[in-house]
Amino acid sequence: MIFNSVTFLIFFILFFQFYWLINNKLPISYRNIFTILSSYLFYGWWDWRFLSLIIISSSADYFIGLGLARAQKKNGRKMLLILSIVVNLGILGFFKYFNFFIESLNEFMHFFSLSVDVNTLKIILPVGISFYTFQTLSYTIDIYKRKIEPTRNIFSFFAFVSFFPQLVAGPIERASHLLHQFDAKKAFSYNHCVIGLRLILWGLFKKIVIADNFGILVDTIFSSEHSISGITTIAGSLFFAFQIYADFSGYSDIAIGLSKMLGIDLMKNFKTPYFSASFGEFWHRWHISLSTWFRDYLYIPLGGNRGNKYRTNLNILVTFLLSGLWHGANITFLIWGGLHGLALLVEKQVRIKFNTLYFTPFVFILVTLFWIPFRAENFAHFIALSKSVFQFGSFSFASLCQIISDFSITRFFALLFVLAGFLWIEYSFRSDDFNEWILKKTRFTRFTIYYLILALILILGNFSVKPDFIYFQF
Amino acid sequence: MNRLYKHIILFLLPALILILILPVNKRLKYQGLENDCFNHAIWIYDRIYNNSKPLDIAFLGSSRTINGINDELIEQELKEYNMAVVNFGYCRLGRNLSYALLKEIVSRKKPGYLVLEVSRNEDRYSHPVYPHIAGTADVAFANPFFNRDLLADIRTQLTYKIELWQDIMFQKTVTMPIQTSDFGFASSNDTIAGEILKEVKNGRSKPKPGLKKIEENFHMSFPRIYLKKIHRLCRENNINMLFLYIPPYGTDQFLPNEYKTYIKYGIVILPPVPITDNPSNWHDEDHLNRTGANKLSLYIAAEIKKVLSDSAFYSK
Repeated sequence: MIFNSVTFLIFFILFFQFYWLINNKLPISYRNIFTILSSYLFYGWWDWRFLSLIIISSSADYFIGLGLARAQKKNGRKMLLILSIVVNLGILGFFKYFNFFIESLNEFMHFFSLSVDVNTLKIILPVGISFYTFQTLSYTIDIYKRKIEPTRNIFSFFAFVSFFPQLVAGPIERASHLLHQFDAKKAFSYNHCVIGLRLILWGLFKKIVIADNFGILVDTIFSSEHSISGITTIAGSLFFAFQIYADFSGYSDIAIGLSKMLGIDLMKNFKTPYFSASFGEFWHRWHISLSTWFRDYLYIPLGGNRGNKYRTNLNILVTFLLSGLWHGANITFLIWGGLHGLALLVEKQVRIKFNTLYFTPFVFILVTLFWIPFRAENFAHFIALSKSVFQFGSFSFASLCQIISDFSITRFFALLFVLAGFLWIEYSFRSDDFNEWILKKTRFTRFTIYYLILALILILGNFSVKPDFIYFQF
Repeated sequence: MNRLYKHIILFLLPALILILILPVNKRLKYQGLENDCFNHAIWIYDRIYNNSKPLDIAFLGSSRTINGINDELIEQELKEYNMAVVNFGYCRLGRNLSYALLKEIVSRKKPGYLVLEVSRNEDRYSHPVYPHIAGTADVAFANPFFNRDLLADIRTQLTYKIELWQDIMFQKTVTMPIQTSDFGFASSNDTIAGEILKEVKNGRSKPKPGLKKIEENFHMSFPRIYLKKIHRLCRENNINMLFLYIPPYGTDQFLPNEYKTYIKYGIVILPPVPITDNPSNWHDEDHLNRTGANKLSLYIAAEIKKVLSDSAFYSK
């Protein structure tokens, strides 16, 4: 079930009605059981077989959490933590990385002329596996570090892991922020629902108008079988920069909005990242729930910036390489993570004040170019694209113009015009969010903006693409 | 909560009304299906609306009809009766499309006969093209209890309408020239390899577990409702209904499963076994080639002649 589908609309209307009915009439556990079952239905709509993985991961961490609270000896606690890591990363490793490592091993062996061929397996990647395994893993790590107490309420915990608005593409929540929200009785709030609906409208606009339209151009450019010129590759990466941001932040907005309607607060996942004046700032604003996860559970345990300069640099690089690998079992994601890590290292060496006016465009250009390995299908494709960026000899607008012409020139310019407006609004609420920004307007202006968004969805929305979000594949 | 629902509905109502009342040129709806079924949709539209030639016998069905019914040949065979025959077959199954097309046909033409293709089983799902060409009311109120695809169809209809408008706004619409052909038959001269057909026959002759009565009643409700609607439309427009069973190659089933339903509404034409059992008549395991189509068409023409000469039929 995808947020921008009719099936989900029907599902959510029914869920919303019964959720509040159960919340108001019955004990909290019933509401949580209903949330769990509905979330499983939501997830099982893709492939019910993979529900077993969520149940295994949830059960393991629930009991390990209780065990950690009971265990007094350090070794016992450590063993339990290792068990949790093995279960979660084992599931993730098998379903996401098994074939990648086998293929890499085979290539490595061939490189040294060793004829060892290990067969890969036909493994389907379960949707959202990287998100919920990280979320449940953070729970046991936090208990181990004595940052939180484990919950004894199994229904609250299972609801925390499987809560459908953020189950398949985040934000990756922490137990300290989300878990206790399932323990409390909630009061229906009209205002919360309106806040949620505003975010949903804004998220749908980003997804259907910005992401799905740029997606057509991006797919045409990056799937071109003919060699493309530098300008086309650069334009493709620029379009992809807008596509992926609108797609993922749009999803996050919808997830946060839906949760708000159910009386649950999720963390912010994006804070206008393309207006960052440094890579450090960019990673404070892009996919915040993942970057803080890696900071808290990898970078800091590795030593963070507490060691010498070389150790700190190594920690940064390792964190970014693994963060790249988290996105997918492909060397291209490692390259993407590595490039961001290197950019941060360079930034740390250059001790200057990052002036927004000069550095924002510079950081944006680099971030955009770094999307090339992220979007490339494989290493060979990445190399071909990277070479094409520097092919100034065949510098030609013709192929780009042809792609735009096939897309419709009028539609393209209308899209650019809307994009400019979108970026202006994003720039206006740099320090808050869409909701806070629009609340500062008069009632008339607010409704004008709502209807303008609705009109743009109808006029420019792309309804022909299969409803899907880029981050589902991670 | 009621206040919330009320405000959401009030907020969305103008947009919804706008989409619903937005007029769309009917030809554009058919033209928009240009990448489907050999661009047959626009030809169907033009044959109904832009071709002044009358229509006396209409064939409706799937790609088996497109490939298996040579309408021009049947028309020649029925020369003495001076009847115009048209093959309105469209790829894939879904009984509701036959209904939607028949509605279009009777709005402009006055056919005396409808020959409806039937297969072993009635398909219990909505035809994928149905929401693109059917009217809003026909899609939105289409048997909600037995239509698995109701929501998808509503969504497709609304978004297709929006897409057509977007194409007009962004100047992507290029008007196709009017299709002037009188006939819809399209077939291949190729013949499938005998070995492949042997394998197919082996597979198809294996007995398959049948449905229980209650399951069958549930599954067949959707097509049966549309059969009833088609019959009603035929009755209202003085059209005689005939059914034509076109089985795939290699089946050992000589009667369609819904035979009893069909004979309530009209005569069922069953193809002769020598035609369907001859491997040289098949383009693939589901579609006749030109040779097979011609043989079948001659047989059908003869059957129709019998019907035409049988005056008792008219009183039915």
